[in-house]
Amino acid sequence: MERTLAILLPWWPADRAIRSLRRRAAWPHEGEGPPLLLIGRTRGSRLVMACCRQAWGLGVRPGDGLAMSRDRCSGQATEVAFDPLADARALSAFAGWCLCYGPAAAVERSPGPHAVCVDVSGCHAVHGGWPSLLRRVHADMARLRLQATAAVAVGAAACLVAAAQHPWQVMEGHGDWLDQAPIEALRLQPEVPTALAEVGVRTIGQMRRLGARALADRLGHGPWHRLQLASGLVVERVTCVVPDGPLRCGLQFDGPTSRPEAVRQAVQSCLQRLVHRLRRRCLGSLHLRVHLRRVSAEPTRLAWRLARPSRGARHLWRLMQPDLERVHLGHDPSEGVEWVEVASLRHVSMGLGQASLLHGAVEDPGPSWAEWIDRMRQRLGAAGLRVPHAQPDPDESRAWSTRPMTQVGAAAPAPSPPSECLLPLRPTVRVAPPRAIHVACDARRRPVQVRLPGGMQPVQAAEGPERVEGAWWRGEHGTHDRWRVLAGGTWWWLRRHDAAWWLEGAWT
Amino acid sequence: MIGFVELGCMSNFSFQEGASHADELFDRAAELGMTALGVCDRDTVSGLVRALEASRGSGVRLVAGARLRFDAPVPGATPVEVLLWPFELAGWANLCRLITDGHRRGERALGSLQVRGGGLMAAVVPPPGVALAEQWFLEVVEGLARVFGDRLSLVLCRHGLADEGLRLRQVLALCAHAGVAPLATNLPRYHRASRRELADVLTAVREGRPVEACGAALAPNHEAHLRSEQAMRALFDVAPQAIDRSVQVAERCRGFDLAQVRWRYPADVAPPGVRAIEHLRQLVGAGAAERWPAGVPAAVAARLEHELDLIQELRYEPYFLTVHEIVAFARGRGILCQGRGAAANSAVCFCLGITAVDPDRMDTLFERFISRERDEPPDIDVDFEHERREEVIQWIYRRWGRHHAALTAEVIRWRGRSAVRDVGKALGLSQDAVERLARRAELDQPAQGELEARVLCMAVQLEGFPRHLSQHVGGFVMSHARLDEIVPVRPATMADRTIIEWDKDDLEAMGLLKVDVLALGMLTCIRKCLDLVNEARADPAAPALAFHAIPSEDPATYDMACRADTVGVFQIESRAQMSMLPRLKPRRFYDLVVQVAIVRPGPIQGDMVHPYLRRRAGLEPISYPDPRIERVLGRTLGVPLFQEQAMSLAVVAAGFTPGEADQLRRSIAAWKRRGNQLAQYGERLEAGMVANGYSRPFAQQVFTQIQGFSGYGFPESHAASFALLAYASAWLKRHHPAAFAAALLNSQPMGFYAPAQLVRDAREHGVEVRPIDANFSAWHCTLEPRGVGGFADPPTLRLGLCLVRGLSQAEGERVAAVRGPVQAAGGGSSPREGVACGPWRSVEALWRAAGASAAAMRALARADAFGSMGLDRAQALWQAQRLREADMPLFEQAAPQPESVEPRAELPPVQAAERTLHDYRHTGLSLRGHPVRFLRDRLARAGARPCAAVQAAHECPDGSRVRVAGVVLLRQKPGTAKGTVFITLEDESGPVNLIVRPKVWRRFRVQVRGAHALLAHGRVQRRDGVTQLLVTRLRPIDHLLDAGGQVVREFR
Repeated sequence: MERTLAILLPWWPADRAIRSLRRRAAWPHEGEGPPLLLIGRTRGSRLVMACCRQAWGLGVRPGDGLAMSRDRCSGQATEVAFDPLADARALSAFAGWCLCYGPAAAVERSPGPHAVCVDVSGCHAVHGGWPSLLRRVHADMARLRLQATAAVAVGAAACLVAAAQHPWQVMEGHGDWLDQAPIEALRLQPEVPTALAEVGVRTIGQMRRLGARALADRLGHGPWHRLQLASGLVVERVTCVVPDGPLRCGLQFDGPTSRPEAVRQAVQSCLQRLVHRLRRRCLGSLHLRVHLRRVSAEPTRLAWRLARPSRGARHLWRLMQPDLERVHLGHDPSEGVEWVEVASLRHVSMGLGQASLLHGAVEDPGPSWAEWIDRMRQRLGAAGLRVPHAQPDPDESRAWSTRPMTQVGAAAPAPSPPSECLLPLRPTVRVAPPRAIHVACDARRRPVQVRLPGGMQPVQAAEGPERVEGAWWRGEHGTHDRWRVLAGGTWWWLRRHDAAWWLEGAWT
Repeated sequence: MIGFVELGCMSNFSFQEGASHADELFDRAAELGMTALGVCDRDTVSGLVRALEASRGSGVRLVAGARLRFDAPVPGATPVEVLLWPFELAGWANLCRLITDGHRRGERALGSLQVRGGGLMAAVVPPPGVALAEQWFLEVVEGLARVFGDRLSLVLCRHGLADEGLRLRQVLALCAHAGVAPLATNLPRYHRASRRELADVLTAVREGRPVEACGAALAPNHEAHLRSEQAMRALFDVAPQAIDRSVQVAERCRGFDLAQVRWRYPADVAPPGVRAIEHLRQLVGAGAAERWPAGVPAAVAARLEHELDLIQELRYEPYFLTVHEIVAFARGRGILCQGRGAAANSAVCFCLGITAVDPDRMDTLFERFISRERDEPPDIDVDFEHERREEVIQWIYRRWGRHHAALTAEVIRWRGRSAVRDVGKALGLSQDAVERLARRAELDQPAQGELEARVLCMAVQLEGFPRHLSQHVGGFVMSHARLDEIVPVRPATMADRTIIEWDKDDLEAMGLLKVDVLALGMLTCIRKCLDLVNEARADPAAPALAFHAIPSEDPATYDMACRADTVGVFQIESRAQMSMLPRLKPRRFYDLVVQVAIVRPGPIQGDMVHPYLRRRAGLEPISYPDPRIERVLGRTLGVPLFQEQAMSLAVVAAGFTPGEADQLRRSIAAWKRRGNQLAQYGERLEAGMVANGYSRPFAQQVFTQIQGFSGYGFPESHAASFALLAYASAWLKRHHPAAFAAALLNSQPMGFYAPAQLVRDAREHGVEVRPIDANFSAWHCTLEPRGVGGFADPPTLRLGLCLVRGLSQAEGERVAAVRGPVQAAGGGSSPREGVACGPWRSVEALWRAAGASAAAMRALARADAFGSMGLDRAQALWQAQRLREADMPLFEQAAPQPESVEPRAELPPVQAAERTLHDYRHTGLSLRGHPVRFLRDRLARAGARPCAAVQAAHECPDGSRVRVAGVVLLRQKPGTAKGTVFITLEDESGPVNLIVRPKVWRRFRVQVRGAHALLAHGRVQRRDGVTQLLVTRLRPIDHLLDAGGQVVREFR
């Protein structure tokens, strides 16, 4: 018989954030912990976008200003950034995990609290009956420290109502319990319950009594259809799909093996298949994982995060190879690897590349630059790699800054020099880092001689000083002068700081 | 040639660019040994009057000018900036016209300099980023050289930028090529290099982004500051003639001084052939005859003669005639108006009908208005109905022409909070951090951390800087000559209004007169009330009630005031005033004058209130040192309550002249800013009084009381003007409560009370209030006859559609216009032609007839305005929800459609409490009862008493502990109360006043700050018939009472 399990997660963003904090040991493992506020920014104001149950109890509501919410929590709240995309991704992963309850699971998309529906039709025998299934879900949620309610009923719409109104119960049929539930439990667009509440209609039963025609005239066909679905009067086409999750390719050995070549070959084989699947779906991987299952030892997990999406087999293999070679496979057969899995845990669309257009005749270019970046990133960590970023600023030292690798796409174009100068304002060759240089000055502190590789050279022409002050808002208060100096037939770019001179570039 | 004059200086009136006050610039210039300083703000001369004052203080001559931006002749090229300095009066007129034209057109062509270049010295600033050898720029310089000849210069400037040496050589080459003299200037933005940080913050404010993100918009260094001659000569060693040129230009500009700008009042205020003073005397004579039909009292006649002589001597007669003309126009259009402020001291103003304070009844002091010694222009403020003031303003523009009349400017400055906010944003703080810091700064709490300290430090520097120009509330300047040749005129943000670039202080300094055309909501209310009273006359043939015909000294009105029954009455309706009324017990007009004036920070801080009340109650003897003092203070029982009395005391007891006494008054007003001056006057006052035989302690006591006026206080004349309106409104409330309530509701927003309290008060005064109904209500609240017999019985009040939230006036009037014949008695609006009239029986029928939007019908349904159709709120809304705009094309509106019939929906019943809450939510009031009524049982179980029980002494004696609950009507935290919060709660039995001491407020602030309903624990306090609850605990009860629609008025 058709049955659906609905799991409602009303505090999902907060629960996810707390799990993340716990992993970083930034949240107590036992007890409730402080109130948690998830903060977003809207038009320059920082607002509470979600909060935990405890903060809710103190009067915090999504949409409140941060200052007021801090006040309500007596300044004790922990604040983290609200990330709805990460929430959605995690929910999708959670739905995939829920496949342990039934053959199909999906994230519920209708308006309302986060929820997952699992099609558990015919699974009661597997779980030892529906109450047993609910007990298992309850235990799992407690173990995962997720605040959730769940119910089993006929049809997803009815089941979501049941999970909200009659948690941890198995609801048979579509009787009074449904009629007495509030309209909000139907998860309609928010304006529908509001409009009906204005005329005093608050429960599903009262809504049903208004009739299809009257409702459709005022609110469109959606609400009545949803009601029909919940009531089982319209057959609900279960469109539950396995959510987008990791792509996995695995290989089982005939028996445990400790031979590195065998493991490497197996991984390469899995990687080839994975790349094929990625290419077929026009995806590029951002997060790869190799899982080596042992017979009696702890499994080995290796993971790589990529700076940019890739599906180049050679590139990915070069990334994996050094780590794989360092894995100690043991000598005892019982420590050997019995199963290999290569998974892409996170991937994004890459579109069609030139290689794809050639029907796989040529492998993706896999530029060595990308490989190098990935290696560096692996060694230095995500924060260790930065790229230069140009910004319009009169101070050359401020004109270039660096940004984390992840923000490369947002780099602003470099400023173009004014066109009227005989010389470009900035040198064509930069000396980095600047080199100390000896300069002789006249009484007005204008350069008259410069020590170049051939010895002291007289200054034939000098333009300056260009005076640049430090960025006081960053606590930099010094002043330095820049000169363009013609000596030895070349224009040099010199900087004077106090009495010291530095060579910073040249026009060639 | 020796010397250097910086000619291109910017003051902080180059809004969000210049980083120094004018006096800072001039003081620095004096330090650097300059003999003159040129101030050229960008596209404005609004800072020049201050610069002139600063120059007088420092001894450095002002070279007035402006830095104007002209469109480049080549599309897309950088605009060309020209510094302009007038060297004769005609040049100033041209400069003003150039600025005016630029503001009016939004652009300024270089060609305009050909027409308006006369009398001006000019210097072209080479645009940054432009190759100076470009042909178009060469042509610009050559063209300007043809117009200006030797009066043109080319600016040489060194700010330590890249390529500056090259550009310097190019400019010099260009000068040689075009035969133009180079002029050295540093174009300073600030007086000292240390102001660079503030200048960067101003740049960030202008750019609307943090300093860190401003990039190239910021100056790279601090070179744009005032420099000495020596420093400039070192910088421009290759062109010493450019330094000499600055001295030449400054010398040439000696021919013009800003003080030469002459202004004359419009002369066409008297009939042809009649001198202004004769015309004024005629009008005053006629007015006096009308005011005193039995003959002008001798004292008044003498005063009139004295005033007219002084007016003639000081040549102010056109000013009085102008104001008279404006007032006459308003009266002719039926617009209520009344003069206030110092003008009420003038008997001439009374005779001209400008003010309404009878000099025969009040002992006013003319010198407070005009003084020979002071030789400052008089200031007449006239209030008009706030809804019709625009008619008067536009008439003034038409009457004198836009070239001769404009509004005064108002300089909007950075104040503490806004300065912290803008600096914080510029330094990259988030909005909530900025708000928190601004609050902390207001409370004088120390900064936490280096960044906050830097923000606060820079905010202090920024405080007082002008931010932008706005328009004055109503100050008009009229001129005989073209106004835009005296001062630039620019369009205001509001449509059809123009403003000059000077504010009221500038006008005063330059000797320009202004007329204040102000707006007052109570005048609108009184006019509407009089209209309603006259419409609802039982006998239409009876004479109409007019404002001036309101009977004076009506005992019933004073009885009502003594009971503090003054909700809605002008000026005496606030909680503080209502607490004072039972103590002061006004029984005559002058008592009302005192009542209006006494509840002000000045008298309170001067500790004058309690001595006055004690003397009035006979608890303290009234004594005067001598009869002269008695004459001055007699009417206020020996306590100086008004500024005029302080002045008179100084004259009578210390030998001040009236003009000196007025200087004393000004020092009092500026005491907190300029304490020394008042101390000097204090010594003089004390010495004078002792010399005249008064004891030193008495002299010191008088001076202490006078110091109290440094807080905000009313002059007697002003209080008298307001007291007149207070009396009139109280009389209307007492004798025509329905019309008064309707007028108050129709004039919202105004006053202290929300519609719910006004309606409740009207019902308590026996007015029958009828609900909003789509078949009966007009847009405004109206009066309806109680029965079929017309207005023989007291009328009833029908609430108007204006109270329906979410309904626009256009939609509401459309609905009201299709009302059927049943409404003819109350309204008089005619139905639309070709459209069937009601009374309508369904929402859809009315919708089709009115052609209103479905949203409007839903708003009406939410307001429960379909009662006469037999539809309650839910059923009406259910019908309205079915209406769709798309179903109603234009042709369907024209032809009546058969109504589509739908069976009555089976909607659940609505609880009474919920109905009340919906009323509040959608109309702001309910005729069904108070929302707290539905919680009474629950509140009683919690030990809460009704508010009325707290008011009753036999139920809750003084000192007893009680609990009360109610919705929050008012929440005040006055600056003078040292942190005490005053809250007024209301339940179904009435209001109760709470006093929350700072300690208690701090404890419960977080919980109750946003609460709409509260449960308060406290001790009853009774003083002089006033009952208040001294709160010990507070608890929000919003969860019990969903008071989402309740209006809570917040005042700080």
